[in-house]
Amino acid sequence: MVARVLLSFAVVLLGGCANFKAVSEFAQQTGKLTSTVQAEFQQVDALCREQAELTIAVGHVTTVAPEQDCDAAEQAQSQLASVTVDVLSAFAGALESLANDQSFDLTSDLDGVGGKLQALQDKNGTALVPQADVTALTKVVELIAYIATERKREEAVRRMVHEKDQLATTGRILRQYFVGGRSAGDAPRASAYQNRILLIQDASNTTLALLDSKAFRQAEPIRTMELSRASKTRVALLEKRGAAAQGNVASVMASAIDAWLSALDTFDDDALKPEPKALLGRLKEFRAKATAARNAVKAAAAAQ
Amino acid sequence: MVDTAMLEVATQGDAIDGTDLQASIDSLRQIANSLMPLDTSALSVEELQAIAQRQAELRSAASKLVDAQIALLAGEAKITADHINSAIGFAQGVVGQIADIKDKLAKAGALLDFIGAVMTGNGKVILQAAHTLKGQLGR
Repeated sequence: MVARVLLSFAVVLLGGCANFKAVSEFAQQTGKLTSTVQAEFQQVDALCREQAELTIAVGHVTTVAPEQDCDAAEQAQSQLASVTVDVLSAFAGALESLANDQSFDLTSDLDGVGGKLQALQDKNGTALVPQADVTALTKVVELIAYIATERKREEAVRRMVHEKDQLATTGRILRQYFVGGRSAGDAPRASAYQNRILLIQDASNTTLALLDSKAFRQAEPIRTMELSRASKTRVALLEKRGAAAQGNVASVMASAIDAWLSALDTFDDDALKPEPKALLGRLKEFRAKATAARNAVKAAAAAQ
Repeated sequence: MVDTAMLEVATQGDAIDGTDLQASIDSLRQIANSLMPLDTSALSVEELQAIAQRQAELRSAASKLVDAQIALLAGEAKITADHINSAIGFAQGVVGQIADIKDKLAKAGALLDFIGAVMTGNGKVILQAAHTLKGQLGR
C-alpha cells in the first residue's frame, strides 16, 4: 500500500517534468543538421571559386565576373537560407544548453543573426524575401532570446511548442533552398542550390571541352593534361550533387529536414511527457537522416 | 516578345521574384551550352576562348537571376516574370536556328544587354531593351 502510494506520488511528480533527454537529443540533432548545411555551403563556395579561377585562366576571360558571381552567390547563399541556418544553429545551441542545464552566453550569436535579419530588408524596411519568412525567423530569434534570458527549462520548452509553426517555417525555407518547392499559387519554385550546382557544372564542362580540344592539347600538352585531370575530379564532385545522382546531397538533405519537421510536429504532444515514445521514435529517424546527410556531404567532399 | 499594348503600371512594392525566372535561367544555360560545338577539332585556341567567354557571360547573367528580387520602378510599365521568360525563350529559339558560330555568339551577346536592362527594374528601359533585342535577333 505504502509502495503504491509512493509510486503514484512519483508518477505525479514525473508527469509534471519535461523530458529533457528528448529535448537534448532534438537540440543535438538540430545542431548536427545545421553544421552539415554550413559545411555544404562552404564546399559549394570552394567549388565555385576553383571553377571561376579555371574559367578565367583557361577561357582567357578578361573580367573577374565568374569570381564576382561566386562572391555574390556566397553573400546571397540564398541569403534567406544562410540566415535561417544561423538562426537554427543558435536555437540548437540554446536548447541543448538549456536541456542539459548548462550555462551559456548567446549574445554574439544573437547579435549576428539580428544583423543578418536586418539584411533581409532594404533600407526602406521593405522585405526582400517573403514577409512570412522574416516573421518566422524573427519569432525564432525572440524564442532564442527568451531561452537565453529566462532559463526556465519547462517554460522554455512550452514556449518552443508555442512557436512550433515558426520553427517549421524555418525548416521549410532550408528545404526549399535545396530542392525547391511550390509557391502559394502552387507554381513550382526553383531550388537556388540546384541552379548554383548546374551553373558550376556547365562551366566545368566548358573548361573540360577546351582542355580536351586538339588546339589546346597541341599548344600546351602537359599543363592541359594536368588541368583536365583536376577538372574531371571536380566534375565528379559536382555530379554527386546533381539531381540525377542517387542519394545526391540535396535529396538527402531534404530527407533530413523532413525528419526534423516530423520530430518537431510531435513536440507539442510529447515534449513534456516522461516517456515520449512517439517523439523518441521520430528523433531516432531524424538522427539517422541527419547522419546520412552529414555522410553525403562528406562523401561529396572526399577529394576536395 | 513583350506585348506592350496592355501593360499595367508598376506601383511601389512591385517586384520580379527570381524564383519565377526559372525558365529564363534554364534558357540562358541552354543557349550558353549550345554555343560549344561537339566537334571542336577545327577550332583554334582563340576561337574556343571566344566561345568560352560568351558562355561565361551568359552563365553570369543566369546566376544573377537566381534569387533575384528585382524591384520595379513605380510609374513605369509593370514587367512580369512571364514577359522576361518569354523574351529570353524567344531569343533561345532564334539562336538555336543559327549554324554559323560567329553569328550565334553575336546574337547570344545581344541578350546580355537585355538582362542588364531587366536588372534595373525600370519598365521603360526594359521595354526599350526588348525592342532592341528583337531588332538584333533579326526579327
